[in-house]
Amino acid sequence: MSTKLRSAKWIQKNGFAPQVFLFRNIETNQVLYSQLPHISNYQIKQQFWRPNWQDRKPQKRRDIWRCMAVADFHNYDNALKAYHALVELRYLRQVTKKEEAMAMRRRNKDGNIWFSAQFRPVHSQEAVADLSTVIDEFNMPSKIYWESLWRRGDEKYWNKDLTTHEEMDLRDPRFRTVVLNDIKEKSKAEIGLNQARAATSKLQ
Amino acid sequence: MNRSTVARFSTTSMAAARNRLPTNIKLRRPIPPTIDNITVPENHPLWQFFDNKNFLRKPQEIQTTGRPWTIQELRRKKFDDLHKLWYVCLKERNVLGREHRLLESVDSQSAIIYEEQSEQIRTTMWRIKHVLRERQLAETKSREKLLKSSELQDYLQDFKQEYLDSQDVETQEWYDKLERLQYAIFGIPNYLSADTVVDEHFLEGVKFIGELKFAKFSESVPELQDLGKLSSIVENYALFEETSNKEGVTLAVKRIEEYRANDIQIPQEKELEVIQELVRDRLEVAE
Repeated sequence: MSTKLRSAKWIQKNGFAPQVFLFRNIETNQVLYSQLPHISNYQIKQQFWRPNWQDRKPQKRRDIWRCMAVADFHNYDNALKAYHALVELRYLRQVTKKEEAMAMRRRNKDGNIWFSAQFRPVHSQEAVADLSTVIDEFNMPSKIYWESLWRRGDEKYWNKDLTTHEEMDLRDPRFRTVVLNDIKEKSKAEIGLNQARAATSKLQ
Repeated sequence: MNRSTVARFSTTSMAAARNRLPTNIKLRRPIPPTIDNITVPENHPLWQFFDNKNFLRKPQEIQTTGRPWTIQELRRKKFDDLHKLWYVCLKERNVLGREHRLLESVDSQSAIIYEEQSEQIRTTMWRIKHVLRERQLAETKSREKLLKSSELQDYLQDFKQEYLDSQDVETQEWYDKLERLQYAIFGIPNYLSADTVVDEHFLEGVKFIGELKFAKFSESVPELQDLGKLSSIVENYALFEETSNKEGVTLAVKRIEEYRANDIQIPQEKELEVIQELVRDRLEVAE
């Protein structure tokens, strides 16, 4: 369960892959980071520090959180580091560097964050920006699976040497867990292969 | 952010804090999504709603000088042409409908041009339907008339004579003729299905075709001649079912010999039931 911060060892022991999941709220477009392929109140509590009318504390409704992206870091320690950094960046945007973050958001004519009903496009765009920051800052090789490559944004924001992008299988959202399982298995198989290669090269 | 703040994330965060982001980290601007990342396949089915992949044609590009096809013109076209024309019209109406809807949503004056053109095409489409309905009615009526009239027997007799007189009936032309005859007069389709009605007409058809093949091939296939006369509806059905060439008839003869070995007599009133049973068996095997 993703009810607390999980160590790299715990994630490995419980059969998960070194991944960070970005879940998007389809009503408000807010994004939740998670170490596991599901969310809980723990993530909501940790990632929404100063709720206000423009950035409400969301509910844990399973029907409105859809997986926007899965960042695969090929290494359990890196995945933990990335998750932690993403949460930290969220804290910066919401608390420490609130004004700096606000200055970069698109406004409507009233000076508020641009919105349509409850939907604010900037939330998911900030999450994408933070993900690219984390990858560049720690120099971590990664592979990102996107719900739609449209969300990735322009190529110039991503380091080609570090990150590869792929689109998730196009399936009904009801079968998203199947897709996530596939990605998990793929990632674990790749780790196994890399370990085997490393062992072979040592022997030689 | 100081270390006490980090600790509020979780109990293990202190350990992770060794690899924290630098304190002077600069926030990046939000990354907007871009459609440049999406490539639409050339054969995407929704392209059929666009004219040459144009988002919106200009009003000048819409042909407004033509007229719908007239019924007289359409009557001269065969079914395949009408079928093609129908789909050309349908696709064009889909394109025009989409463009009209787009312009209508912004209250554009030119939306009406697209709508008028669509209406013209719609006229062609109902006329195509009209012509097809005319043909269907003509076909149904002529068949009904033929089945009721005394001319039917004469027609069948002529057909039989022509078939027997023909030097070579193992041609596609004759296969097609037989198929058409059995469908038009006895209502027997080329491929049997669960919807096929097996009634007295069907029975008559089986008898006619069976006897026709018997008469034609009894000279060229000696085994058939050895059988003597066809004595049961099952024998007729065997000949009816097999292809109308020597190989087919030889196969039918084997089936007839097997049937005769059982020595079963079928009374005339049971013939329809037997045929229904045979057709049902055939469909089950096919499934």
